[in-house]
Amino acid sequence: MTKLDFSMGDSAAALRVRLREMVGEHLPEGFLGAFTDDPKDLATTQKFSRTLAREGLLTLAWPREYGGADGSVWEQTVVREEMWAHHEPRGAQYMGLNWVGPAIMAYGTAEQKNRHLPPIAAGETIWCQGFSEPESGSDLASLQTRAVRIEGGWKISGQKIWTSYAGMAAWCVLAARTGDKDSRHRGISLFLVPMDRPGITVRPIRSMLGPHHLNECFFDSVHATDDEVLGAVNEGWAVIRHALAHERIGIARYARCERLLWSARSSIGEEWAGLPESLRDRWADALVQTRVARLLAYRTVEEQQLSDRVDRQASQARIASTTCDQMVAEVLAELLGGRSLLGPAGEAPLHGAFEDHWRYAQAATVASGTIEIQREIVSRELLGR
Amino acid sequence: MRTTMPEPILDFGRSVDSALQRAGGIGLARDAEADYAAADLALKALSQVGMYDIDPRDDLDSAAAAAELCRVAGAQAAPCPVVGIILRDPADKPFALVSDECPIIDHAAAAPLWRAATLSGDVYEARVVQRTGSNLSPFAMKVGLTRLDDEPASPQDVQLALALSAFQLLGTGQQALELAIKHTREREQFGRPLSGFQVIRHSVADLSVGLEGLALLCRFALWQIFTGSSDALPDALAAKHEAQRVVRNVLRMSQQFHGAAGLADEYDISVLARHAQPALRLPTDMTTTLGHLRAAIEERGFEGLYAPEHAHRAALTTGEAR
Repeated sequence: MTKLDFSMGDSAAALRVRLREMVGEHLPEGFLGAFTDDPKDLATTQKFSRTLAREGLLTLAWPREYGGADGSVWEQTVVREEMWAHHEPRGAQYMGLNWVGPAIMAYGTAEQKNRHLPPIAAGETIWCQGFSEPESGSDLASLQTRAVRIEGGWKISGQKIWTSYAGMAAWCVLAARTGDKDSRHRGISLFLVPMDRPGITVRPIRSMLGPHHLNECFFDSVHATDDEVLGAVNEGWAVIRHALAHERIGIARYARCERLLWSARSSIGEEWAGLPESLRDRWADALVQTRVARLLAYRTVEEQQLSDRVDRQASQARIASTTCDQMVAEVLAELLGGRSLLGPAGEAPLHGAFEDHWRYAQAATVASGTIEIQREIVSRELLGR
Repeated sequence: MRTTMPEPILDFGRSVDSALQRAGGIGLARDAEADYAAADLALKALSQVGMYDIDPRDDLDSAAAAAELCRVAGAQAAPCPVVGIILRDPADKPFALVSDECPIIDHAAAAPLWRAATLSGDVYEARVVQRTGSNLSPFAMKVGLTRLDDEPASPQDVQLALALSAFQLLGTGQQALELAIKHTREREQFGRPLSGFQVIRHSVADLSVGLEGLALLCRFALWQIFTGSSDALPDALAAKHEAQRVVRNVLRMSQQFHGAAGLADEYDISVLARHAQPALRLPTDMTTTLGHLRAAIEERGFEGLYAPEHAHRAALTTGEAR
């Protein structure tokens, strides 16, 4: 009889050790990811990505035929956990590796694969995703950016918003309407367009997520060729669904949560015993919730191997992981007390990781599908439409 | 990795469920309130599917079978002390965790003498003093404790008692949510089923997340008890505390979705909500359980991705981390 077994196996454990060694060797102490005021941080992520690529670890998840290592789902899980726990040192490469690359493998032409996969695999290209629009957030199928057929290709006009990495990206996966106005998800196509093409303007949006993160993108009669359509015309929705399925378990938020809870405990040191028991109780409960979120993610990974239909499980995992993120942010704030408000000039606790975590946690229940949409996906299966 | 119960264990659970259903299902708990003889029918059904042949101390698979039986018993509100019987001692005395301040054992009348232990491991002999007489715990009894000078309670017994009780509550919670789902799909108000209202849909989604997470936490605790490199007390306490937190909420909301019907004993949700109270409150209430859990984590750590190694943990405890 196959027993209950929560271990990831020896190769995954060895990979975790190796990744921690690389993080220790290549990242400066207090590294907080690519989106800081210090341009050196973006450079660090680019360099770290190339280092991972050289070691064959950047595309560990990819199939061998595309230069990957065919890593097991548990090795992939370890990579997600260790990278997120250490503030995603792959920086903006994350998008290309996690879903743009796999989507091109699944839906791209031979030419698109040849052109785009090698630079993604080498950690050399930054991608952004042009999905959300001012009037199309959760209701993505209502998007209005229009691609009109012209001689020799397409002319694209419209506006995208909340676009991560747009200011630093070389390429964009752009969703535009190619069907009639009311065609909803049946009339959307995806285009792979370079961000330096004439007619594209990027405007950064100042936000609590830090500089360069969120952007508005304006597309003014931008030209695209037929060769730049990803998948079939009017069938971009299938690719988007594929992408969102990757994103739902893409971020191992629980890993950073757990790391920070223990870091806070350690940084408080001997004053820990003087904290109110009720607060220490909340810290313990938060550790349990990180375990719950982690196990729900593992269950999704496990079931994804057996079935394509894991929408409910993925959304349940995501609800747990995003709410855990916000719970941990609050528990950390209270554990650190007034020190939680100290910035870089005032010896920020945990090298600023608390402040960074709190800000990002606020986005957890919004980014890549709001928690309300996740709840709807879950309830649709349990209660019907 | 395998995070779900093995198929033969699930099959066993289905046979336990059929046996209890044939014996009267949740109706048995209702009947036992009027005449405790109905409890014997539950015991007989469980005995026929092999409850007395399982010793969860043997190995992980035996513990998994015991856990599945407890989960199904919780779902059917089986009026008998399944966890206590499964963990009985060689002299056939059932085992219960108690608080030494106000010792109460649910279904204590099932045996003249019990072996009891506190969470700190003190061992007692317990015998029935009187029924509580409470509508919230129709079968709970106050017990008198006599301290035994034995060895402290086996850590494995304490951990299994916590984990199996969490499985029992998990079953109760799963059943309650199923009843709520069924009811809200059938019951129409304002011209449409209650299940069409977003406030109910989203609550059900959140409750399901809680229960799925609890189920995983329970199975993880079981696995830790048998394979973990460190003491599994924090894992077992985590499962029990999460069961108290999640199932209390699931019962409350599921009853709410039933409207006034949820208060009527002819609806199963009302029976479940009352009969689950002892497992929800014993041996310690949720807040006290959390205090025990926190102390256990501070002392022993908590298996995960970033928990400090033992030596470092010891330094934290003695304040040498700086």
